[in-house]
Amino acid sequence: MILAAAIIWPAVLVSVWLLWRGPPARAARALEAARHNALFMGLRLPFAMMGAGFVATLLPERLVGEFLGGESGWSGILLASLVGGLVPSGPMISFPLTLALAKMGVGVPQLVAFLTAWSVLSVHRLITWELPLLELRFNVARYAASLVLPPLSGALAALLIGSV
Amino acid sequence: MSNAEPPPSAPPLPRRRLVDGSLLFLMAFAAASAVGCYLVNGSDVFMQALHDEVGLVLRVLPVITGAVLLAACLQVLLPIESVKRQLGQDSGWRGLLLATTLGLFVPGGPMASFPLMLAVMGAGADVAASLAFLTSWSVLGLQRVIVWEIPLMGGDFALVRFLASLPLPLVTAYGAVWLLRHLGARKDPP
Repeated sequence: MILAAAIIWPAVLVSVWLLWRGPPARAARALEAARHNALFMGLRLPFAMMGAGFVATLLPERLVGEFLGGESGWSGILLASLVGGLVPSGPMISFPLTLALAKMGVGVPQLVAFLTAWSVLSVHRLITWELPLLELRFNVARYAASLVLPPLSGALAALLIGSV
Repeated sequence: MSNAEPPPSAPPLPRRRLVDGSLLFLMAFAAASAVGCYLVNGSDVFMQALHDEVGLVLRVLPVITGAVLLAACLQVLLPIESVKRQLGQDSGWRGLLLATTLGLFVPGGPMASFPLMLAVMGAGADVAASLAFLTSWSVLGLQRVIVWEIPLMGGDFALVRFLASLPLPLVTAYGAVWLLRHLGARKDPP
């Protein structure tokens, strides 16, 4: 938390300084965006994090540990890749859920595959955003090419932490 | 609301309705999972989970406040126009790397990034560069790393995942372009 705050607050200060020196209309737009973003997040954050926390208590801990644990290897990475694509909604749910999975003993490569799948294969985002806004063949090509990403990132993470 | 008309080049700020389906979904999700937790696990586990969740919310709060401000600043500060020019058709390797880098810094959810993506692609951006941008924003987006990953999962985990995800935008870009070439004759982006 302290590391994250130490990164983000200096960046905020620099941005505010840049806006302060720039045209007032631009600063006004940023202020309006900040007000809107704060309301939007403030309304959703408590519900999302509560929900993720309660759902985590309903997961079968023993099965999760067995099928996705550090020892589960490739099959765990593939399973995590599949499950990650099905998690709906934004980071407010997926990261608390990832934390809960980590506490249940899910391995780092499996967690990485899970998060990658959630971010590139999310079925909910495909339906809400990509299909309505982008051309179909572009979507098909992007989604198909992205299928390899979760296992690939899981395998690279395994290499990085030396668990292969 | 529209007292100061933005300059014509400024992309429109993403507007989201504050109360919409996503909020109702989250409320229903929280209520259902709370009831489920109470009925299945009993009141002790319920209270413990509630306690943990309040702790998590407090843990991300100082960071997320900064992130909300930073996202708003970047929304108007990012040099979208000059990026658009750089990402033109056949921008090649430079375009790919620039798109990947841009993805790192674009804040916010799909609400912010998809209009940007459409603006970039509408300006005739390379398909590969567009794909690299979208994937980079999805897997490498720094705002998500700073706001969610570091506070909840720790810096070590965030670093490992970030490094393992670095090649992914290029993999998608090349893979999808190869597929598009074999899926049909047209090469132009939507």
